[in-house]
Amino acid sequence: MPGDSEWNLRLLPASHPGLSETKAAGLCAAACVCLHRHHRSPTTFNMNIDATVDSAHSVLWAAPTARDRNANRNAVDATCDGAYAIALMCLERKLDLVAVGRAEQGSGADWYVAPPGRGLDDAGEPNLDDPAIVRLEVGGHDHRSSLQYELKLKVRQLSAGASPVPGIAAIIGFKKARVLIQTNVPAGKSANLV
Amino acid sequence: MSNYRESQVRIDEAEAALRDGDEDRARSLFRAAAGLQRAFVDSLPTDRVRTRSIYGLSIATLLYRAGELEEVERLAHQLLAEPWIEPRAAAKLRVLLSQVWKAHAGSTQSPSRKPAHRLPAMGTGRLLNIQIEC
Repeated sequence: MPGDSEWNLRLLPASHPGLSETKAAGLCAAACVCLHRHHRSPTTFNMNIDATVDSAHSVLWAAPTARDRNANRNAVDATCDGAYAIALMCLERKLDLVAVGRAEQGSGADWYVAPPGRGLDDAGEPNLDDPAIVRLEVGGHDHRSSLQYELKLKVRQLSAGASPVPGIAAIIGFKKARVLIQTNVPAGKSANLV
Repeated sequence: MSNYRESQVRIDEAEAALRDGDEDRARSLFRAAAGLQRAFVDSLPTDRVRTRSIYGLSIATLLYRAGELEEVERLAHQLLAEPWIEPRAAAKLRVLLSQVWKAHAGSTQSPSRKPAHRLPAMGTGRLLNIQIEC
């Protein structure tokens, strides 16, 4: 439910049609591993949206099992996947947007998101002709002081993508338990594909 | 599983293969993903112009990552000839074509000067740095 004060990271799979249960569980496990480096559940995340809205939300999560930790020993991949889970949870709760699919090669983004019930065709595949669909680019960081600067980089990356679809950039800082979101990033300009 | 969903699985597997240093397997998986996305695009109604444009470009990019340069050329020219292709996708296809032509030019050099054609490190929106981040 958008705006709830306490969020449960384990509820992510049910609400995002672009996530299989297996994929969602993997992303959530990675997020728990990343959070467990610095925090214990529940963890209070501070969030800024478009540099104006400042809010704090308590997030419930499960301590990772040994198998979760073993499966996420590649810290870069774990941070990236964990950031996806946190970003998608925040978008669902704060902006009422859910994942409808991974973004395609060269789009400059990671995911397509849309309001529930939008952004998919009758067969359940992403419908990029739906004007409600938005690109999402996520940056995950374990410990970094300049999250605002990272947000600017992600906004630039979105703008440089090949896609005409507008975007949202999200930066997740695990140690700081901080989320920065920039909405309404305009669709792309020219940039190199590879 | 639909062609689209299966293509996403193949892309994930290809990225994993690249991380493991298995470029041959990655190329094969990118090629498979391109075929699946082509079937997905072929199944779309003609009025889904944006979806067809974006995934058309995606197929070309996947073929490039698979090392299928001649196939990229053919597809890019076909797409650029379509009246429905969106301007941004068309611009990116031209960039891709110029990269293919540069690769062709490189392959006509003497073997000692010929650059190795390595798979480009490119995910969807992902940038990897040496710190723990993505």
